[in-house]
Formats: sequence, C-alpha cells, structure tokens
Amino acid sequence: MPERTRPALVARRAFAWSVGWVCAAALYLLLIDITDLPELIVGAGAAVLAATGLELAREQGIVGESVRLRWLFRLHRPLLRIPRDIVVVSAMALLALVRRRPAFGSFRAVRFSGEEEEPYETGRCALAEAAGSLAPNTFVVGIDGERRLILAHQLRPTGGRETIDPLELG
Amino acid sequence: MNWRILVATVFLVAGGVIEVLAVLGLCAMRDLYDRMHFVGLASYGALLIAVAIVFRESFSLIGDKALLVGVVLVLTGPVLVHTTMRSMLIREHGDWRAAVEKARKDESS
Repeated sequence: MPERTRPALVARRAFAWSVGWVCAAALYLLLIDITDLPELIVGAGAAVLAATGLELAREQGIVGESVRLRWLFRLHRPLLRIPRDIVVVSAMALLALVRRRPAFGSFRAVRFSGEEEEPYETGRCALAEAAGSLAPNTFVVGIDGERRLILAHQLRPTGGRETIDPLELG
Repeated sequence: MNWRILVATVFLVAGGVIEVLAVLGLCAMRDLYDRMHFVGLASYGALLIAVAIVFRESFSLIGDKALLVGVVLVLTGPVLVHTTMRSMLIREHGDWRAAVEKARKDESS
C-alpha cells in the first residue's frame, strides 16, 4: 500500500469520521423521529461517540475488509434465490412432520480457490460467507484456507457450487 | 377495501404463515443443524410482516421502525446461525474444519 502524506491521511480520517457521524445521526433520527432541539443535541452527541468508535476500530484494522466493486455484480443471484429457498425450507418443515428422520440436511464442501492481497482477501471471504448464507436453505460455516474449500450446511442438499458460492468468488 | 390494506393483508398472512412454518420446523426437526435453518426462515417472515406494516402505515415512525427491525433481523439472522453452527462444530470436533474433510468425502462419493 503506498505511503500517504499527513494531510491526505487527516483528510481521509475526517471523511470517514464524517460519513460515520452522518449515518449514526440519521439512524438516531429514524429511531426517535423527534426534531426538538434537545433531542437533536443528544442525537449529535451520540453520533459523535459512534463515529469516533467506528474510526478507532477502522484505524486498528478491526474492520479492515475491502470489497472490489466487480464482486458485487452477481449480487442479484443470492437475492433471487431467497423466495425459492423460503419455499424449500417451508416444504421441509411440513415434510419433517410426516416423515421422521434423524437428519434431513448435510454439510457440503466445495472448491474455493483464488487469493487476493489483504485486506481484499478478508473482504472476499466475508462477502462469500454473507452471500452464501443469505438464502435460508444454505448457511456457510467457514472457508478453509489451507484446503481451499468452503464449508456449508444445506437443509435440502441441492445444486452445484453456485448454490454455496453464488457470487463465484472462489 | 383500500388496495394498500389488501396488499398489507397479503403480506401479513404470508409472514404469519412463514412464522408458523418456522416454529413447526424448529419443533419437528431432530437434528440441531437442521433446526438452525428455521431461524433464517423466521427472519424473512418478520420482514414480510414489517413490509405489511409499511403498506398499512406508510413510511411513518411505525413503518420505518418496523422495516428497520425486519432488515436487522434478516441481516443478523445468518450471522447468528453461522456463529452458532461453528460453535457446535467446535464443541463436537474441537475444530470446525474437521467437518470439512467429512463433507468432502461425502461430496466425492
């Protein structure tokens, strides 16, 4: 990562803090829905605490994931799977009532290759786990970096690799 | 009947049915890992009920809060399931990666 000059670093921190403050203040206003001056002052103060906490965490690299924009191009895939998976999981609930079995689901491990430099690698894994777990039939348990496999549990084991890694990040 | 009330009723009934099915699934399933999937299903039921409230109340204080709660449930549900499943695997095998090898063998056979 290239070295940043001090003014650029300060400007970046100020921008990140401001974005955090605006988001926190907007959430506070949404929850309170009162625009009296005392409430606005309390909201501004709470947003200062939230933005400062966020910036401190960001500086320490606690939330140090980065996501490439092209990874999000296939975001519609897990979203489109949600209605189908709701039907599948609902049907499995009814099936469990009539057919008593010790287990219906199973763990599946599929290939998850490729590697990015940090912090993109953390972002890639986090995004793959989040996207894979969005629809209720599949939940990603984790990514085994050594074996280059992604482990998921499916209530109704179905489909290929695309059902576990819908964004095809691996 | 106002069309908004009609749409709200449809979403409310759909959300209610999904919640009932989620509870049924949770009770009927015997395997712990199978049961976890119904947490995800229940959060989508809650989201549908929240959408019904938005149709009924529009984007008011009640509608905004309902939608916010629904979205938070949908986003945090998978995180909860993910961490719980990992914890259960660690408790069973000592390391969640132990399940990877078994799943890989099952996948290839």
